[in-house]
Amino acid sequence: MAKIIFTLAINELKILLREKTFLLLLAIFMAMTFFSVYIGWSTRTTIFAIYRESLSILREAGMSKFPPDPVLNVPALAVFNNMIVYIFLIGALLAIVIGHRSFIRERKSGVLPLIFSRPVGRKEYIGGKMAGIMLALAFVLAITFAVSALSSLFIPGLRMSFAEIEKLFFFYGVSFLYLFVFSLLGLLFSIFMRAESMALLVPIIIWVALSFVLPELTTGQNPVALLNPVNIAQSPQAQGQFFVWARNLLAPFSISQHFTVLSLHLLGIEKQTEASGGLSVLSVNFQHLILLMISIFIFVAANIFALSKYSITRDKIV
Amino acid sequence: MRNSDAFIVIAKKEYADAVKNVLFLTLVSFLLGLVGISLLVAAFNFQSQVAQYNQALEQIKQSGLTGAMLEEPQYYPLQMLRGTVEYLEIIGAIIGIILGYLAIAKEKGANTARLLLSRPLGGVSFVGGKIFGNSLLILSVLGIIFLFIIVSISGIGHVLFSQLELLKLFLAFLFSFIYLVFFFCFAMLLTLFFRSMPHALIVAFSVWLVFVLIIPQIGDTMDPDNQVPGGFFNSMHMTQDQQKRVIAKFKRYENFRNAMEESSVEKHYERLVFATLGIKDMYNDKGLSFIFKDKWGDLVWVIGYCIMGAILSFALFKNGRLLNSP
Amino acid sequence: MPVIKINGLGHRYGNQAALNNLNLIVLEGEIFGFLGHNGAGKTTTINILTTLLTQTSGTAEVAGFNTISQSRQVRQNIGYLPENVMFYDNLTAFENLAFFAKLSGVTDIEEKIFEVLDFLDFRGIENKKMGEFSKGMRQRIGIAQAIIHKPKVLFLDEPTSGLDPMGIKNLREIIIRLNKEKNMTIFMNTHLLSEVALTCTSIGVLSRGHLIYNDTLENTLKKFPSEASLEDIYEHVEKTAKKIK
Repeated sequence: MAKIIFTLAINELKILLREKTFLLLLAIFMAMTFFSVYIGWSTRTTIFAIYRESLSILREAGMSKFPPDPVLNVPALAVFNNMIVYIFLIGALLAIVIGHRSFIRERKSGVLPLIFSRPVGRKEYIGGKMAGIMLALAFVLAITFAVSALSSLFIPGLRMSFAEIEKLFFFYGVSFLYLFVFSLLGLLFSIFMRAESMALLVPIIIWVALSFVLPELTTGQNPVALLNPVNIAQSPQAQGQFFVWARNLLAPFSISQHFTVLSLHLLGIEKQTEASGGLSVLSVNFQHLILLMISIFIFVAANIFALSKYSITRDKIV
Repeated sequence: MRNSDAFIVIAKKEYADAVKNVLFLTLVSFLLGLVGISLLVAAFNFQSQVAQYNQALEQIKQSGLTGAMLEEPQYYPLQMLRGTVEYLEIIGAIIGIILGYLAIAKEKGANTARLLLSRPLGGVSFVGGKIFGNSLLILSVLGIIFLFIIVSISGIGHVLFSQLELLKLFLAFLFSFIYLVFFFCFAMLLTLFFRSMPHALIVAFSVWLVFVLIIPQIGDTMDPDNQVPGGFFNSMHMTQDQQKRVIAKFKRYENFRNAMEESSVEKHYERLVFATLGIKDMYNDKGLSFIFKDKWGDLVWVIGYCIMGAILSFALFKNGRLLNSP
Repeated sequence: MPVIKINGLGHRYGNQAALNNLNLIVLEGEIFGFLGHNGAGKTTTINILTTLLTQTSGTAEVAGFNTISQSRQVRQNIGYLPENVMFYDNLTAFENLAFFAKLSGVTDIEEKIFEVLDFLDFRGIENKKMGEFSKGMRQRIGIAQAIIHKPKVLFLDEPTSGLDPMGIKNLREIIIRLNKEKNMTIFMNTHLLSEVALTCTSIGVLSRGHLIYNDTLENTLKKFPSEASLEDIYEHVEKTAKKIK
């Protein structure tokens, strides 16, 4: 069984790495990773320069007491804060496409009869597909981790301690869980939707609902406002009766918020005095981690069920 | 068949096809649901602001002071539309993309492209007919949405719109129309361009992500004033004049940030509509001449993007791309 | 010794019966030609025998194993070439063959791939991507994937469909060699009567889900006058079937 899952998983990765669509999205993702570090650094240095410039103007005007440097207490890892948004946006689209392509490709190429006329069980098959998707996501995030760790070397003044590198690593780990949920969603709809375009679009709609609508209902913030990490960390939550009620009811399903909260804490944008290492940050926020895991389990089960109902001989993709 | 007749036949078919399309209907209902939710959230937000104000007022009165120092929350119905406009930016664009994709994909996929091209049909009839038919469709969708907005805001706030407010709403409707038609043309030209149709769809979604969500976000996070809650300059207690002096020294950084935002059609649309509806405070309650003196540039950009999309679609059609089947 | 035993097999798609009370035995070493018009139920039968589809009534055994309760063992003993076989276009012929061989539990992959390609006289193409292959070339790789794990029974669904005359001739030779040299029992769906006469050792005729004729090719030729072609036999049994109804 393990051998078959392994064979399927490796095959998945091999084919994916030769697909133009995937490579294009990967290239955009990598470019954004590099760019995000650059933007983080450039904003940081500019803000510091603006602060110094402001001080001299205020001194000229005769002031003597000034507020502290706004970036003084911002942790080094905060230069990666845009990565939260890119994983949230492009990462999720990439993940949906990986999951979607994984099964749509098989349906369109007509190889399923060849596979299932061999001693391959349906659970093994879907296990292989999911393992392949995990490999692909791990591959993408490993490169991203390497790019961000390496690019930080070129930023003057940014020395990351071991604990910070560890936290960055955990951030990519949490990203992996978040992206896996969306790949599973893409896979699920590619199994039971007849039309290829619907199979891609429905997960994107669900993603929009989970990423914009749920947070809007639970926080009262406007949808796009939540794309700015600074806003997410510092905006107060709306207090009306409706929002309290919506939070109690919907917060557990808000996958993107679990991801954002964990990431903000790991990158130190949201501060927790009692937690310093990556593991302790995770353990303090374990409820978000557990809810992410639960959604993965639910989607894994849904995929196994969907494939068990899938008819190989009657499938006509449109 | 005369060119104008073919044009009408194609336009009518586009309309008829779309209103039977599950994908399109799903998206439109989804958008309508989102508009409803964002209006509801805005209403609850306003309600809790009022409640907080009353509570604070009560406390102040109890301690023997007058409430004059508190600012009473003002109800501006058009400002309630921020969430709605943001959903139009995101989902409206997706609707445009799906319509543009379907317009070409259905001909390529079923190979009716060959049947169509074997008729005496020019680019104007084909591409023009597609644009016209889908524009009517987009107009209908936005018509429903704006009607829904008018009815629900008058219902929630029990306030009738003034003539100026209705005019502003109509303009926002018109700008949204141009914005959606741009995404329609854009997806149409991508589907004409790429041999593989799913590839075209994925590229369209990537561009949507980058220009609708990412670039505006980059511009936003790079804004120095956004680094501190409540604004950086506010926290430094600086006057407008002092702010300008500081920013003047960082022209290159500001130009770069601005160029990023300028490249996104969404940002222009947003600036235009936020100003028109007064969602951005400095334009609230202002006359149209004041608003357009500032924002005509954004209007030109949005229209420019739209015309460019249409011209490129014509060019690709003339180039024989419709037969570019997988 | 029977390799395929079918007992009262039936399949319905909703209210529509695709296969009705089919009883059939195919012996070891035979090349069995399964004839019928489009929609007669031939592909449904192959789908059930290859375990891709579960019947709604009756039982079937392949290589001594039940297609439902022992489906894994069945799949260990069969090879299958579907109509219009397709592959992963982005992978090379070698990579495709290696993938399917691994799923069948083959261990010495490289050796087996070259052995099969030699048998099919098809060396030198292994590093080409499948997307560049013609229909005839795909069909050969299709056979290669079906026999790489040395199955006892080989199922071929309309194997000559879409091939040019030369391709058909080559395929015919391959089928006969597989039967003679590799001792494979072959179950072949076709609507080409000329094919059956040239390759098969026994035939069955299916009409609207019913088996209306089943005998060896030799007996068939004996029963009918020598000038009768297989086409005449086909027409005769079809007419008889209609009369019975």
